[in-house]
Amino acid sequence: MTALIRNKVLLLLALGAILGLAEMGFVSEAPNRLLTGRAVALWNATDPFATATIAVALLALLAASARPPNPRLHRLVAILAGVVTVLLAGAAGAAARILAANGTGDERIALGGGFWIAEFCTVLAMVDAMHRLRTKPLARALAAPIVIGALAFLTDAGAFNALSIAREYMAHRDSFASELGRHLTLVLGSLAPALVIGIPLGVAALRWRRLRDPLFAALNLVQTIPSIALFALLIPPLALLAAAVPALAALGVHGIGATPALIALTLYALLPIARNTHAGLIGVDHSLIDSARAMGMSPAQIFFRVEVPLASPVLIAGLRIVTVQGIGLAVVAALIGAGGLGSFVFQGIGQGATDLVLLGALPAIAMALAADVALRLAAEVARRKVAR
Amino acid sequence: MIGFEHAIKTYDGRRAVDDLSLAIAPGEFCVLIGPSGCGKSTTLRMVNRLVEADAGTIRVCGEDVRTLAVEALRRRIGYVIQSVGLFPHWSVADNIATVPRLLGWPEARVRDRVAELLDLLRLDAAIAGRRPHLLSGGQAQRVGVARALAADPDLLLMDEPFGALDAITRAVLQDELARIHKATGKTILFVTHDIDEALRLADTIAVMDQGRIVQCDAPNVLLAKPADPLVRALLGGRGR
Repeated sequence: MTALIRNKVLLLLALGAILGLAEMGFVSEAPNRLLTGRAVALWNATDPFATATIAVALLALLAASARPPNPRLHRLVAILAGVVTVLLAGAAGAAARILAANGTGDERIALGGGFWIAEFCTVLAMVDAMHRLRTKPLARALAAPIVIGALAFLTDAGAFNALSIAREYMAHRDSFASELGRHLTLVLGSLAPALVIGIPLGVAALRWRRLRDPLFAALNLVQTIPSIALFALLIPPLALLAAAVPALAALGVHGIGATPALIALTLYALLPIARNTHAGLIGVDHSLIDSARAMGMSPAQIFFRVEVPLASPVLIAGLRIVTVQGIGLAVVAALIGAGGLGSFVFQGIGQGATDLVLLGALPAIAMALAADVALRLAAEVARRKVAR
Repeated sequence: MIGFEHAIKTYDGRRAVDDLSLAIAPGEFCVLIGPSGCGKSTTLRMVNRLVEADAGTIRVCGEDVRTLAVEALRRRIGYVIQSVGLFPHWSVADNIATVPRLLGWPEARVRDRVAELLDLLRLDAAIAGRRPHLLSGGQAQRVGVARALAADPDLLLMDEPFGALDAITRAVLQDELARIHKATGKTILFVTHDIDEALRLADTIAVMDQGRIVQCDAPNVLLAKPADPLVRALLGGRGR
C-alpha cells in the first residue's frame, strides 16, 4: 500500500478536494440576503459536463500522487491544479447563474464550504508542485498572475455576476473604490513614517550596542498589544490633543479616524523594520566595510554605497513583512472609523451578511498576496545582485 | 616616504605597537614580517589611519597623518588585503574605479584608467563587466591590486595580500608585483609571515616581535647577520 503512495501531500490535497465537494455544498442558496442558505452539491448546482470535468481532473491529481515523482509529473500537476482552481471558480459562477435563473430574484447564491475547501486544496497542490519542481522565484511569481489573470478575465466577462458577493459589490459599487483607495492610503501612509523612523532605529542599534536590547524590548512590547486595544488606547490622548490644539484638529487629527490608525500601524511596523535593518547591516562582511574605509569612503558613502546595497535583501524582507502585516491590520482599523476595506467586513458582521464580509476580506487578501509576491521577487533580484 | 616616530598603540593594556620607529624611502619595497600578533598589521594600518596611534607621529611624504583629512589621506594610498574585499555588488570595472570615482575623475578618464590597469595586471578585458564572485582567487587579487593602484597613489599598503592563494598562483602574483614595483617605482609597505615571500620581494625587511622591530635590513644583510635568535629562527637555516 505505502508503495502506491508516492506523494502524500498531493494525495491528501486531492482527497480533501474530492471529499469537500462530495460532502459539503458547492454553493449555498438562500431566499434572501440575511437568511441562512441551503447547501447545493456540485452535481445539483451545475451542468453534468462541468461536474464531470472537475471530477476527472481531481481524480487525475489523485492518480498522480501514486506515480513516481519526476519533474514532468510535477509540472503536469501544477498546471492541472491551476486549471482546476480556475475551473471551480467558473463552475461556481455558472451554478449561481443557473440557480438564479430559476429563482425569484431575491435569492442569494453564495460560495459554499465545498467550494472553499476544494479551492484551498488545489491552490496548495499547485504551490506544492512548484516547490517540488524547485522553480525559480521568478517563475513562481509568474504563476500567481496567470491564475489571478484568468479569474480576472472571468470576472470581467461577468461569469460571477450571479454570485451573492458580486451582488454585494454591485450594491456597494460607489464606496468600494474609495474604501479600497483608503485602505491603500492607510497602508502606504503608515509605511512611510515607519521606514523614516525604523531604519534609523535599526542603524542606531547597530552603532550603539547598549541601545539594542532596550530598543528591541520596547518595540517587542508594542507588538504584543492586541491591535484593537492599541487602536482604542490611542483614541483618548488624540481626542484631548485635538481639543487642546485646534490647528491639529483642522489638519484632520481626531480621536477616531485615520490618525490613530496611522499611528498604530506605524508602531506595529517599527519592530520588523528596525530589526531587519539591524540584521541586514550586521550581516555585511566586515572586511568589505574595512576595505571601503581604506579606499577613502566617508561614513555616509560606506552606508549608502556598500552597507545598504549589501543588506538590501534583508531590508526588503522587512518591508515585505510590514506591508503584508499592515494590509491585514488596516482591516481592523475600520473599527475606529478609519475606513478602508474593513468597513465592509464590520458592516457585514453587523448585518450578518457573510458576502459583505467577503467583499472586504477577499480584496485585502489579494492585496496582501500581491504585495508578498512582488516584494519576494524584489528581494530575490536584490539577492542576486549581491551574490558572492 | 613613510616615517614612524615612536609610534605606540595599546589594546586592552597590551602594547600591540611599542615605541616603533621606522623610515621608508620613496620607491622602497619594505616588508614587515613576524609571528602572528607581533603588531605588523596594526603598524601598517596606522599609516592610513584605519588604526589611530595612541602616541608618536606617523608621516606620509613628510606630513603628519593626523593633520590630514582622513578620507583624502586614504584616497592617496593604495590598500590591498588578504580577503581582497572586492564589492560583490559591483562589476570588476566599477571595483577598480572606486577611488578615481571618489576623487571625481571624469568618466572617460576613469574608463581609460580601468583599461590601462587591466592591461598592467594582465587581466582579460572581457572580465571588466563581470562580478567578483565569478573570478578565481588569483584573478580576484589581481583586481584587488588594480583597485589599489587605480588613482596612481605613490604609496601602496599590502596586508598579506597573497596569503589565501595556492602556492603556484602566489608565486605568479609575487612576480607580477615585483614587475609592477620595478615599472612604477611605487613605495610599498607589505605585511607577510612568509619569509620566502619577504626575501623574494623586499628591498628592506623589518622583523617584528611584540610590537617592536628587532632587525631592519636588506635581505642579504639579514641572511648574513641575523641580529637575534628570533630572526635566525625565522630564517630557518636559509643563507647559512
